[in-house]
Amino acid sequence: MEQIVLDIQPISGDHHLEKVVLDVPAMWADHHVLKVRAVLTSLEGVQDVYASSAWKQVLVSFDPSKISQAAIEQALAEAGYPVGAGEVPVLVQHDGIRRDPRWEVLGARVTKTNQVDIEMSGEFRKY
Amino acid sequence: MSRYIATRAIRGANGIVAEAEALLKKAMAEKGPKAHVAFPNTAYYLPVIYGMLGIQVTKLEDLVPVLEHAKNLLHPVPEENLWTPYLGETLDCGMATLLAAEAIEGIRFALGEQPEPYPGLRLAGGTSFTSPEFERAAGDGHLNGPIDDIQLRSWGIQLVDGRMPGFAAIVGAARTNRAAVAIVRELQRRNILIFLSGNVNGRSIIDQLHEEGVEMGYDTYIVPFGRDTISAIYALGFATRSALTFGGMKPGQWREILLYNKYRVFAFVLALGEVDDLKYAAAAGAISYGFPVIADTVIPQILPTGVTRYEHVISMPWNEIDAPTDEEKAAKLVQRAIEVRGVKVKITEIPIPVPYGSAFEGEVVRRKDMRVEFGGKNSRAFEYLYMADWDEVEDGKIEVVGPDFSHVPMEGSMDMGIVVKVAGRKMQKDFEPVLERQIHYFINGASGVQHIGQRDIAWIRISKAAAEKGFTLRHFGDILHARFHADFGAIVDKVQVTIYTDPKAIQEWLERARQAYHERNIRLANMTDESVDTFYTCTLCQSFAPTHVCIISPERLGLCGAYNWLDCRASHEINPTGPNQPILKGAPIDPVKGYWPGVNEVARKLSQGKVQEVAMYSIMENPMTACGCFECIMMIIPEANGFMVVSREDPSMTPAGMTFSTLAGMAGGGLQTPGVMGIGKYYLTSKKFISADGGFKRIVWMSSILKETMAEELKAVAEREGIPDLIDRIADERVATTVEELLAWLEEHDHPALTMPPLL
Ligand code: SF4
Ligand code: SF4
Repeated sequence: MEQIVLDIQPISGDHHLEKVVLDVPAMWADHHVLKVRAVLTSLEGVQDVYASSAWKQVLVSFDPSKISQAAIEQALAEAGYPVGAGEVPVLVQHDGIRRDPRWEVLGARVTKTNQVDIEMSGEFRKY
Repeated sequence: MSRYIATRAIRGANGIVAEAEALLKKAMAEKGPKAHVAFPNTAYYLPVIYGMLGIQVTKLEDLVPVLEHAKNLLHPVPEENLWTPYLGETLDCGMATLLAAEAIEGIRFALGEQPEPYPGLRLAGGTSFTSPEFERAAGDGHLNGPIDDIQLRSWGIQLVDGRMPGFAAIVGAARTNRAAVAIVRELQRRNILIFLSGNVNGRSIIDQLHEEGVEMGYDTYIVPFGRDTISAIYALGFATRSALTFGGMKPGQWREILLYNKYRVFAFVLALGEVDDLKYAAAAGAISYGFPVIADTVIPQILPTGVTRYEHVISMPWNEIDAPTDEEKAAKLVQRAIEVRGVKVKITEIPIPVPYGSAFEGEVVRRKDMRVEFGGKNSRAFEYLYMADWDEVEDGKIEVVGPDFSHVPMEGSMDMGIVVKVAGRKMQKDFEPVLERQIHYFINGASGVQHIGQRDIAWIRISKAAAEKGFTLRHFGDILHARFHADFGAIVDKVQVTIYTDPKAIQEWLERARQAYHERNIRLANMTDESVDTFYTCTLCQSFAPTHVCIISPERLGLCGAYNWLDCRASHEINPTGPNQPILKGAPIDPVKGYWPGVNEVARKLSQGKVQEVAMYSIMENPMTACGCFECIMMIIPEANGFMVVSREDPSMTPAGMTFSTLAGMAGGGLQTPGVMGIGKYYLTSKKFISADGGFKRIVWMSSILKETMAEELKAVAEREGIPDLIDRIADERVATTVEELLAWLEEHDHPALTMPPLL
């Protein structure tokens, strides 16, 4: 997460701003980003928004004398992007039955996920 | 295969299919299940869905089975510790994503939300001539939305002859505006078509280019689809339609369509900025088409090949590209993308101070942006190329005789003549006009320079921007010298260019040039099918329509209008194993219908047996096949005992009850359909024009744009046919768009076709 925080230019001279990072799991594609930004930037007191659909997080800089974090979260929830809830729906659940019969054989080969993949997908990801 | 990618792509696919379902439900509740769904100006319905599933979506409810199918393609997200080859699952999910994304765009059209409004944007080349209703509805600006059929076909020919090597679908936003411009310029330089969509944190490369004043639109080969990933589906719709249009595939032949794209369409995806679930999912869809993905961020790579021809997913983090400037980084990124896709691009370095590439060919220099013009209303410009003796030509010598344009007031004009002298061991007098016509394309390739017309009606503009960068008259010579060597090296060995602005010299050379034009005209007019023993094939379009072959004779040019008999002869000299092969026609079997043993034999061989015989002068019996690039379509109107001719530029309804786009589907694909034929528009003026079926007198309806743009030539034809007012007796879309109206008009104007022998 640190990288994204660093990407935001500090707004110079203005020390009244607060910054929060909110998890918004329903924002997983860039058309959601457009909507989330539209919602947040229209709020009085919100100064800057960085919305990342890749990390499903938004970073909001706001003036606490004008708007509260709770109000921001409520605006998001009303727009269909509740904070910390509403994961991407997965329509197909595991049922243990593989579609391709050859996979029955391969199913026995349980291994660990490739370390490189883990590194790139976790904290070490360098974007 | 990366589990990281698979997980995200599968999750993204599940999400977008769920969203599409929810949106469809909502739209059906609001608008009713019968509400109309269509992309504008295409005869291919929602093209990916039509191509992959064969379903013709015209109403909201038609999308229900599509999303059902998409749901069946979905898979669960891979488990934490289980290793399976999930490439198959990921690709299935990619396809589900494409179906869902296209459904969403279809619904957005039904709801009036597409094309996406974008205040202040003007598209270069516009979409207005094909979709006036959207131009109006969207007010002062909108993004492009799907590509229309007319544009698809006119790009088709460039994709075929290699002028345009392929397309790049860019998704997201570049690190900086400067990087965005650099990447796009780099692609343009290689004549690669550019499609834009998506955003990162609300910023899209479309915004970046717009802010930097880069012109977007069909004319500059930069097409902004929309600011979300979903609109990238228009790029895949374009790819699907190329397979259907040029490859002769049928809707529902999903496997063939995907393979066609893998092998014939050189496309790749550039993912700029963070990659989210949906972008991974859409990328999986692109990979099914054989299009690799190159990201400028750190993502896991998929290096093994198989589905694409080379690597599938490449990560090339922008800040790790070893180059000091954004421009150089862009060059490396694009270079890598091209290698990964296996695109072959040849670039010739042209020593001029402005960017150069055929992507700039369509660029328009408006009066207010112009520094100076040559020709047009207020001045005269001509160009003349001739062959000279070996010793008379000094290769690389470029001279400007007379003053340059620095003394001309801003937006003013002056007279100019470009004279090119060439010599070469294989050069022939007959190639002069062929080479001369290239001057148009060559000069147009410079950014900020516009060239219209040819011979003594040339009209050239230089923009202020180009002049500020130091573009001068001399650079015309630099361009011509470099390009003639690069493109016609097989026939010319020496090229010398002189630019005349001195009034006395212009007068002298203009007279000389006119004398030469005149001699060429006479020589061409005397050249008939009977006077030569060789015709030529053109199989350029076989990379798109594998069974199509054009047979080109002195009196019948190729249906794209770009190749006549002389061009083919020159092209055969340049590239003896190329697409233009001589046909020894032999003694005619039937000189009236135009059957020759040599022609039949070649047609059989080159069409892989699909076509057995070709009648050169008939549309009713074994007509020549068409690929998809034709300038006009002819079709029989049985009630009128004649034919109509519809031009590609004409979007209106015809008496056959179909528009050009719909007719194109019937005429193209390399099949012989008696009564339907694609033609080049100058074939209309030929003495051999469907001479076996009665010739030009059979034309009962023709697009008004043809009547207008070819007024002179058509008048000459009418006189030759002995009915000087014939053109006025031919109906057009302004007076008849149904058979009833047409018949009434023909009766009223006493059209000769009504009394000719019956066609059927
Ligand atoms: S392509 Fe190769 S690495 Fe990827 S899933 Fe298939 S077998 Fe595994
Ligand atoms: S002449 Fe025929 S085959 Fe050749 S490019 Fe034109 S349309 Fe295609």
